[in-house]
Amino acid sequence: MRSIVRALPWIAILLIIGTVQLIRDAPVDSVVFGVVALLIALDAFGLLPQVPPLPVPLLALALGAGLAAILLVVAPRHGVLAGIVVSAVGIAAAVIAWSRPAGATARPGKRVIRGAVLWASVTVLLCLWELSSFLLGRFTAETKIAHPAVSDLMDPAIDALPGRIVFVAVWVAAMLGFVWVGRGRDRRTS
Amino acid sequence: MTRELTIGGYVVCLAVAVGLVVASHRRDAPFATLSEVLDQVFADRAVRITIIVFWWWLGWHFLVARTVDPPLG
Repeated sequence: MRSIVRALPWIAILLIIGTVQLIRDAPVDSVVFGVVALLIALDAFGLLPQVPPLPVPLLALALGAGLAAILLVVAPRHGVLAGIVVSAVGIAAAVIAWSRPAGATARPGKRVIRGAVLWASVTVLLCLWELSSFLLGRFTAETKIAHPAVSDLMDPAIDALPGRIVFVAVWVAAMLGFVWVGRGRDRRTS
Repeated sequence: MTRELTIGGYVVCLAVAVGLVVASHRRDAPFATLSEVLDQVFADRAVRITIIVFWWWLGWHFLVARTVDPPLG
């Protein structure tokens, strides 16, 4: 019951994002978020088989991330190779993250709670601002100029090589961090 | 003017995020760093899968799929 309550807000977030994808006529993106929400719900109800933790050598992860970053910089945007590499990174990250054993469930300290509230506030503020800009700007070319979404602002920068290098570096490095984060604590607490 | 206001909102969010990073790394910071927060919340599978999938989607959106949506009218 506790795992269901804890998973509910995250299932709701995934469903909201999936709904926004439907509004912007991106059904494939919507299906991805819907399927992940369903998997998390099934897992919370204990309806999915437990998977053993995967061995994750940091060197192999770093080499894979470096190769992916190089390919994403040289591959044409919106091309087949970029699609294959981004999909591979996503599948690998999801499988590794899913197989991670449950970590320590000690109550977080006040510093961590304050930090979580502050970061969640900034993230929600940015998402609401982006969503309102997207909704207000989607009607005509004029409204799109007046209310640009983050995508409209970043697209020209990522089209240029320096911008793409920065974006790919941040995206891959953060993904590597997300996969690796907490594993040291898991080892200390296991 | 509206465009500048919209972009200003994004800049404010970015500035606040940078401010949080800097402030959280001070020795006497009253709140944890982003990595400490993630270290704690990633113990929960639902949280880490949601954040990783959203982050993955950003890569998909900007590098693979249609990034800029055409206006309706």
